[in-house]
Amino acid sequence: MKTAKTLKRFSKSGLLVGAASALLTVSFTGSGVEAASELVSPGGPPTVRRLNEEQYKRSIAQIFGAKITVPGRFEPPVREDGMLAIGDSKVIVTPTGLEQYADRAREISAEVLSDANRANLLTCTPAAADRFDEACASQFLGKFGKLLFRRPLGERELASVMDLSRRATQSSGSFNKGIGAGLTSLLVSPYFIFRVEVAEPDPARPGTQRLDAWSLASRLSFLLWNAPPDEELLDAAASGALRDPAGLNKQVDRLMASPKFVDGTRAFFSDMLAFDQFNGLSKDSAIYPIFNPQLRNDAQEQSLLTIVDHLLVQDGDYRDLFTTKKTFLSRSLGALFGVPVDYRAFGGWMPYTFPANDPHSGLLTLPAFLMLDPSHEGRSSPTIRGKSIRENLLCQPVPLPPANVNFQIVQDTNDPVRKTARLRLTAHQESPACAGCHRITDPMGLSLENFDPVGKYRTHENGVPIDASGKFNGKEYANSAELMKILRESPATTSCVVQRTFEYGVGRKPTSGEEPWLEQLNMRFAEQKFRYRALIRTLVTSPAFQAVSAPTLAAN
Amino acid sequence: MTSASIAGKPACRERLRTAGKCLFAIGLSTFSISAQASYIGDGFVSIPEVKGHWQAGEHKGWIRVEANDWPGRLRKIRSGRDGEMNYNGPLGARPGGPGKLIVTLGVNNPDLQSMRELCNSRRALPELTFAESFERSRPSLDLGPRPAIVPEYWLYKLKAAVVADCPYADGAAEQAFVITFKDIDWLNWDVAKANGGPLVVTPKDLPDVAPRDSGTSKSGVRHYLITWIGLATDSSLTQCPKMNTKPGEDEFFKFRTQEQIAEIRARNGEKGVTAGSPDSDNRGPGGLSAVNLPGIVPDPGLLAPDSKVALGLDLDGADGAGKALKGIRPHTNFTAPDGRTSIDNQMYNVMGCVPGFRGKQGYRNQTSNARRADGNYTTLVEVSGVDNDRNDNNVEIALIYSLDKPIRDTSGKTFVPGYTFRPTKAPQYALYNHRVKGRIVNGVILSDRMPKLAINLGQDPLLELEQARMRFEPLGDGSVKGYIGGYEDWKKLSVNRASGYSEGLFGYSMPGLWYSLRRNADGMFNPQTGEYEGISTVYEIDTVPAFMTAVPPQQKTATRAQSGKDAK
Repeated sequence: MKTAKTLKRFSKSGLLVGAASALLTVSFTGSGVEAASELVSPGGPPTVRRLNEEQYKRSIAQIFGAKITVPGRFEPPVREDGMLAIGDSKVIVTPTGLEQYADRAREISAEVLSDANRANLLTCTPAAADRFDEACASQFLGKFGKLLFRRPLGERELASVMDLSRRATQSSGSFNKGIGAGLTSLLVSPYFIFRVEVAEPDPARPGTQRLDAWSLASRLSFLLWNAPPDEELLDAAASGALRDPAGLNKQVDRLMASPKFVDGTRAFFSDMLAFDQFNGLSKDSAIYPIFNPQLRNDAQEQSLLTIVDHLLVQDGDYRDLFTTKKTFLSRSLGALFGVPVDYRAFGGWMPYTFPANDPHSGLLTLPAFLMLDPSHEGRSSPTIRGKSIRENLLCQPVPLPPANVNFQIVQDTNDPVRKTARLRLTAHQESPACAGCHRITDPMGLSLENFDPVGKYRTHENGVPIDASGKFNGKEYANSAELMKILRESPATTSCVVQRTFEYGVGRKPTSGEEPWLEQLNMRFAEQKFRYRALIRTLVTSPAFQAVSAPTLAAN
Repeated sequence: MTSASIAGKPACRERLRTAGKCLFAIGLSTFSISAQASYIGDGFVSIPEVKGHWQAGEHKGWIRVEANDWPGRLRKIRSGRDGEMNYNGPLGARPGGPGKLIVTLGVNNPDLQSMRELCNSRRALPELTFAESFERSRPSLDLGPRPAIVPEYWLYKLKAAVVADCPYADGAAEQAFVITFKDIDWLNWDVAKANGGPLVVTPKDLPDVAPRDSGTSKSGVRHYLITWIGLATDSSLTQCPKMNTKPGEDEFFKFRTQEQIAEIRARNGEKGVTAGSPDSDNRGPGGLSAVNLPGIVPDPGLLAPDSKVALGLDLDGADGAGKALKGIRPHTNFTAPDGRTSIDNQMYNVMGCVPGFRGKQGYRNQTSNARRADGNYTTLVEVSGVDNDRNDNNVEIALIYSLDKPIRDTSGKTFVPGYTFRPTKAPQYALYNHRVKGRIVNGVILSDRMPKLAINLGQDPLLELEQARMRFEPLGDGSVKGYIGGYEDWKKLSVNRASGYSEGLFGYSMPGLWYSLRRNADGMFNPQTGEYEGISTVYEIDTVPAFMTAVPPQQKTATRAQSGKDAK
């Protein structure tokens, strides 16, 4: 019945392209949920993704220890199709960036082999300090090569780095410097800097391809931990255990039970909610004296804490993030909300529940969402807020504005006649070129006008009462709290997080062939009562997560 | 040398800047602060065979002196790490050699003639005893109660003494007597403890004033963060046709001979006499310090505001008409800018035209409040038990310290309201928490009269007021504008302003200030001396609304224990 409904919907939306290849071969299982057969996904192309700054740093910390510093500036990330994770698969390394990688590699290598750290990381003792020790070098470079490349080094790769280390030892008269040169070469290798996914034939479906076990291990660990595979996961890949459903489940259980799963969840939602825009975000302190870097950082952290607590700690319904009254307060956020905090909020966080009659209701009424507008320091922009809801939370792209748009009316917050954003935007929409997009973005943004650009509640703008009413999906609402209830019930809300989770995991938009499977995952999410943990588990244990439909790079 | 952390350095710099009395030497790991040894206020001299006329207390039969100075003596000041409290040792010269003590007597002192005779005869005095007040000898940042082991008066025996000089300037209020001696004994204090010691403050010493928690209090509670507190000395732009300035050559050279003047001019060249230099300070008759002993020169005058309007409070409950109240000197009351009459703020007459102390523009007020803004001594006003914001005859008003930083906007100009603060148990602050009954009348919060109120102003000396009152007026933005007033010991205030460096920095003549304080004193009448020892003074307070959180029960024990430990 559900499948029929799904297919009907696909048919309506023209998403049946590729669905012809979908066969009912696998069963979803879950406690208390009706078992349903899983559509087979044809997969999509494998990706080559550049490690982002956090992933690079977490890799170094996980492999060599947290004491190793990671110097230098990283090239900026690029957001593509709504996600940095997709942008990561479309970026290159510029010549300047390569210099940074090289300098960084030399410094990390030197620190790893410094007197302070060598004893812990170089577990063999060379026969002589000034001569090359084949066995010791092979052990060291093989071990860390595997961790850095997230797969064992190929024979030629190891031979090459050994040869480099040997020659460097001879020229420098130092074994440590020799293997340091080898380690540097591993750190500047594209196989470390990029996550290069490799495909192999899928024996379960002759004629099709899947990720090799090492690539699958990386997909798993970067999605769940935002970090590279640890040795146990690599061992599971090496032994073939990752290919066995029981072995895969065991590793997924382990990864999701780790505190690092919180890191992975935070990284995903930071990407989905475009929190990278917090870097350098500022507001006009003459207008909003409460805004400062501490408040900015706390706002971001508050939303992430709220998400993690609701989805992971409480195992709550994802949709309730749009209406929840529960959050956490720091000292600065207490000031923003005008409520006292207790000792826990000083340098930490205090759980807090907004009163039932409080206008704050859900993530979109928390300051992180409300202040995250880098282009307007002195006023709120209902258009930007509406666009953010559409694109980031409903996965509904909004076209770019025309090049010759005149913003004069919208920007004049001192307009003696049009004293509210609603009046200014209404006037702005008199231009037909503008009206199309603004009709999509503005109504929801205007419903959040009761919150100023830093997220502080207000009832008036320029002395005029704010009208926060509107209409969404044919339903009228009087204020933001009512809008949040409507958003909570919108199918687009949940399908978007499903889509984003998938995109974040595979590093690209779904192919048309994958969409039926994704729709089924969305239905499955509903059956799982919109539990994020369940969504993640279903995704990463599915054959669709490792299905590959296009040629790939060879490892060597 | 007192061992101290680097945290003590700013305080030392501040003393150097404001008092001109602080010299410090920095070693590799320790430093000490040294200050000149003098104070303005009661001391007593006992000379065998000379009967003094003081009639009160333990010094009955002694000669009362108005001020004293141990020229050349630099007392080392204990400057502990942040959070430590200390007391300091005696001002007096250390035993083991000759020295000099200068005391002053008022021209109406009944023992003046005896002292003049001793001076004129240069009679050898085998010994004499000098009693010096511990409280008045304390450095300005020395806080807390007098330790039980410390005497109320340090006692010194000056051996083989002579009243070697007694210069007097016609028209001066006091005459100085220079007593030289061959040696000195400390009679009630061990020289080995000359630098004092740690001040032990136990939890029972602390007032039991904890904030009513903003989040959990059942009765109405309001908290306000103090963002500015300073002398209420600026009521209008036109109050001072002319401002006071630092002393000039007319004062510097008044008691110098032409030869001395020529020598000073030759030595200093075009830059002239520098404020705070010996040429500036020692401008009294006989080359004595007119800064440390300001009564020894005639009044050079201090410009007062030409205004009947002043900020403040009615402290004495009288409108100035009719018979003066007991203990209050008849004086002219002011009218507040908002029209309230009977305002008692005689300090306005003194400081109203001194640039460094004039309201928000006063540099001294600004520097002090800049440190407040940085969170060095965060203070909050609490109004609790509020059932009716307009009229409530039973509320409580508290002043409570916190060590949490006030938050300002990124420009540093605006304090952000709505932040929560925790009380501190650090004794140097918690000792000065207060709670008093009060009432709300037409929205204005008024405290009952407090016999004594001491406020730790951090960079400024402890503000000690008698018969104090507080008043807070609500403003439209949720904050209150406040005034705290009472009677302040004007001689203690004089000690804290007795600095040549401060004269130059803040724009006044120390003798002029001293005479003005003495002239305007209107309260704290001392029947033993016949003097009014207090001057009505008012501080204005700006606030932003804030919150306070109480110490959680599980932390109370630990915090209190820590407090006791810190004090050991």
